[in-house]
Amino acid sequence: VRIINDTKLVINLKRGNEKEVNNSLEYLYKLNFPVIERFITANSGSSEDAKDVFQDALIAFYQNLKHKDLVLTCSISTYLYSVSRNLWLKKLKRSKNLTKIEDFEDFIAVDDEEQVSKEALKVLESVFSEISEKCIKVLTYFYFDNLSMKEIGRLTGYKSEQAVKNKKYKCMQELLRIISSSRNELILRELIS
Amino acid sequence: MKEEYKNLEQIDNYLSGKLSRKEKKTFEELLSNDTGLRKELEQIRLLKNIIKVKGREELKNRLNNIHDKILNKKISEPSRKSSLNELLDSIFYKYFNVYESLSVARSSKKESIYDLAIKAYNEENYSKAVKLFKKILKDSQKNPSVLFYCGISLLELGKHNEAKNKFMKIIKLSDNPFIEKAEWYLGLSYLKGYNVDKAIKVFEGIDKDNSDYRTARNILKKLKDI
Repeated sequence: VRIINDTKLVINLKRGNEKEVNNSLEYLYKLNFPVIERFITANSGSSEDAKDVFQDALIAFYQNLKHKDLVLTCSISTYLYSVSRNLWLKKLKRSKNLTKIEDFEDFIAVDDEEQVSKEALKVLESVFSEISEKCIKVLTYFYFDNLSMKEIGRLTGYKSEQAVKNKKYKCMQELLRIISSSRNELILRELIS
Repeated sequence: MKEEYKNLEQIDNYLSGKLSRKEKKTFEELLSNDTGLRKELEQIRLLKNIIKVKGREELKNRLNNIHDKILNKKISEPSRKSSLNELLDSIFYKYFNVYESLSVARSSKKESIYDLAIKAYNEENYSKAVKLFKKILKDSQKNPSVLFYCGISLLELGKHNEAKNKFMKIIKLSDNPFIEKAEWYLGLSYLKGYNVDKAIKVFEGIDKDNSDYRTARNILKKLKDI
């Protein structure tokens, strides 16, 4: 396996195209998942638990990187390990299975991920099935990946920032129209707030 | 329209904490005096949250693909495929643009189904547009312009198979102004369905005098690189 350093990974995750982002995620996954799986299975969890927890940690890392100008004071691997560990210990504590874990410390704080119910996800899927895929791209690039109009233009083939702005505005109008004509607006409002 | 854009931009900046302290104060004062703006803020907050959940789900899907690829080596074929598909998707999105809007001639007072369909198309309400276009096609199956805009709307909604059929029909009709464009969009429909070989074949068939010739050459280069 080729070694990619953290700086390069951070740059690719922040500014890369889909392929670069994917490669970086895959690299981090390969490198870190086995370690975390070992930790969780040694602490009354299953491999499936390990998968959930590690993915949540990776998503939290990705989000913090994109939205919060995360400054790493340790390696990415250490970061992912601590976040996964804390997430798992919290879960254990909640299910009152906490038996012999001594040193539970929050040395990297992560927002508790909002738990979205299956029902809400279903409604969400039906809403998004009505809007164009390009809209979904533009909107998630902006709000989830926190990319600039210029970067979104580069990834979606729009020539100018203004064209992206126009598209985004139209897509939002469209999404709003679908949501408010959907009988499930209340479910969305209640569950995603 | 411009005013609305400005509001949206400011609300986006406000919600993501990108305003300076002074700007934030000014904006909050504006908010306290303007119920319309407050309502708009709440709408955008809702949209933003929904989109973030969607983004998170998509990322989770990507991670699941990676997980399967790394851990279940036996079924690595479909996952290898899935990362290839992502690549094809990114090419598709780079090249797929909706054909320029049409203007609706308002000759009669009463709007025909066609007018309504075009209106929905221009408003980017593609699911509505498709419904209306299909209604028209029930009576006149060989209307190239209806087939064409219906196909593009379908492609926008990700329904590449149905879209493909519409574009093929146009090409079969022969002798109509939509043929050249239909070839281009047919190629894109194959691309969206991850049928690279067929897509390449269609793009290669695009003539030098077709206005999409150069773009077709560019996309071909990318597809052959894969």
